Amino acid sequence: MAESMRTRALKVSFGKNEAVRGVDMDIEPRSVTAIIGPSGCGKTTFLRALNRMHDHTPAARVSGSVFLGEEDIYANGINPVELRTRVGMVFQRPNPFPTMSIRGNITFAPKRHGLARGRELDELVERVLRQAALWDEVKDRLDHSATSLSGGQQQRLCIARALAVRPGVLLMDEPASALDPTATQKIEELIYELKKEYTIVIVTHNMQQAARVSDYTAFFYIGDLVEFGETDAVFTNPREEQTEAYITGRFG
Amino acid sequence: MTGATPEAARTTSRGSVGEPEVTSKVLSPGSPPSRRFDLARHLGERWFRYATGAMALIVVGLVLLVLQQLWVGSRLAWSEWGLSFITRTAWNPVTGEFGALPFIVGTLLTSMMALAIALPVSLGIAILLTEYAPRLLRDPLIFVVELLAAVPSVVYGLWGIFVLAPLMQQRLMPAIAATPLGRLPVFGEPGTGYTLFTASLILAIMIIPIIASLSREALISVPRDQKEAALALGATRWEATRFAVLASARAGIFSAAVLGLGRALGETMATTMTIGNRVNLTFDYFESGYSMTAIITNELREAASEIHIHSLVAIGLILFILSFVLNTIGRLILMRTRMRGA
Repeated sequence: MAESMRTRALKVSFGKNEAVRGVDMDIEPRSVTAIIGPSGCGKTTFLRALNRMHDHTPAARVSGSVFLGEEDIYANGINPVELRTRVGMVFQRPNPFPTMSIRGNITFAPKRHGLARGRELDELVERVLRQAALWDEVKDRLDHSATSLSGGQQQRLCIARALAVRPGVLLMDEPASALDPTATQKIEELIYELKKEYTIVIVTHNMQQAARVSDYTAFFYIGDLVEFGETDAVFTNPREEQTEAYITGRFG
Repeated sequence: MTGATPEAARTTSRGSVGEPEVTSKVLSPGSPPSRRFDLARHLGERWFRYATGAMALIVVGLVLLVLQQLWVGSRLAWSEWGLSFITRTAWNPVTGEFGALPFIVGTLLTSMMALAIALPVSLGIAILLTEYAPRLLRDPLIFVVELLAAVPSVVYGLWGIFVLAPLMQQRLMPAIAATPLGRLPVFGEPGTGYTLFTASLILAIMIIPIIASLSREALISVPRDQKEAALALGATRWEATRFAVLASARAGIFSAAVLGLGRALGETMATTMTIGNRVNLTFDYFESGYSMTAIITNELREAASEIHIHSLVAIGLILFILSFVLNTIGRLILMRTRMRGA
């Protein structure tokens, strides 16, 4: 299930502003790749290029290529709707559908894609909620509104929802930045579990978080990929001066 | 930097958390600044509070005054027939027989049909404007829709008389009668062009701008991340719009529909000019009818007997209460959906 991704000369610009300036990066399957860097360095923009979310921003222009497995996702004939079932995304702020129940949030996408029906759906709901470590907290109130959950629970519901379409890659855009420390810890434990089955790319502002959860770390600065390598190496022995300055807190 | 707005927004929201100087400033000890009592400011504050309170009271007072005047002006009708005035179907100024039912039915039928026609059209416009139209198309479209609202209702009435009514008679009504819809009991044999249906259609055009622009506001106010959540799950654009955006905006769309209905209920000139002005208790949209607003406009000036005038004012009172009740129901449902959504 878990798939690898590669970007080659990936550029994203908004009008005259080039937010990502030619990035080559290889993302290993069944691992966590953290993307760090100061605000405005293009981390989120890069992440959103991996599932073609920029298609919905009229001003955005993407060039270069992004491979999912061996397939270029920006090639002609690739359906972005189908692509996004293979590359899931979790956003910075928990965004469950407020008008749907907990169950409804999860079954929304599988129903649209015809992945499961009837009893299968119930099994699917339980499976992904267990994967998201949320099952025990919500199993008795699956029909309650998703907004009845706490912020941390909502975010885990959003992760469960993303898993429900069986993606190979899960993109996370600062998934814990709107949460308190306890909820953050739960999300981090969850990421650690999920990487056994999924390829995870996480954008984070929190360097400790990157050090804790990730296997590989990419440091972005003003649209460039400055340094990319195993997390231990990047944090203990960075090759680039800018990386060292950033992780030691001298800027950013 | 325009494109990187999400990143920019994030930094500003985080800035206050990450900066230690901010907190140290707040906690720094020191004598509190001395404050001197400022009489002018104090009085100004008081005066302002009373003045705004008085303004609010004036509005409430006006509503009550209108209600009281309508009551006084219509009491003969109520003392003559009591509440059965509402259900009486006779309307004969010569014999002095009056009843409100044909007008109530005419008003309700035309308003509801107008809403039924206008709501899907308005929603379509609102969705097109918020989700699909490129900027180049969007701004002119908004302008045109808002232009519709600026057309005086008498002009709509004229257009109804010279264009729509003949068209209805010759083309539209026979066409509808020929479809399966024509078998519905609310569509009878087409005859004249001045019918409940003609009036409904004019009303529908008149309320499209308000429903479309309020629905558009409701759609815009749905957070972008709702739509992105659906898109990221592999929803198509239409699925994202329908399940994430429309579902979240339903309370706002409902209130848009209620306000549109309110406008249709009270619309006078265009209705009077196209509804046919025949006292006729009917549920057949292809017949001429009468509305509450039209009968008041047409007969109040020429009413000779006191009971006639009082009966017309009584219809005004019913219309007032009807709009009030409809708006209240609408707002209550709106409040309940809001609470469930929150």
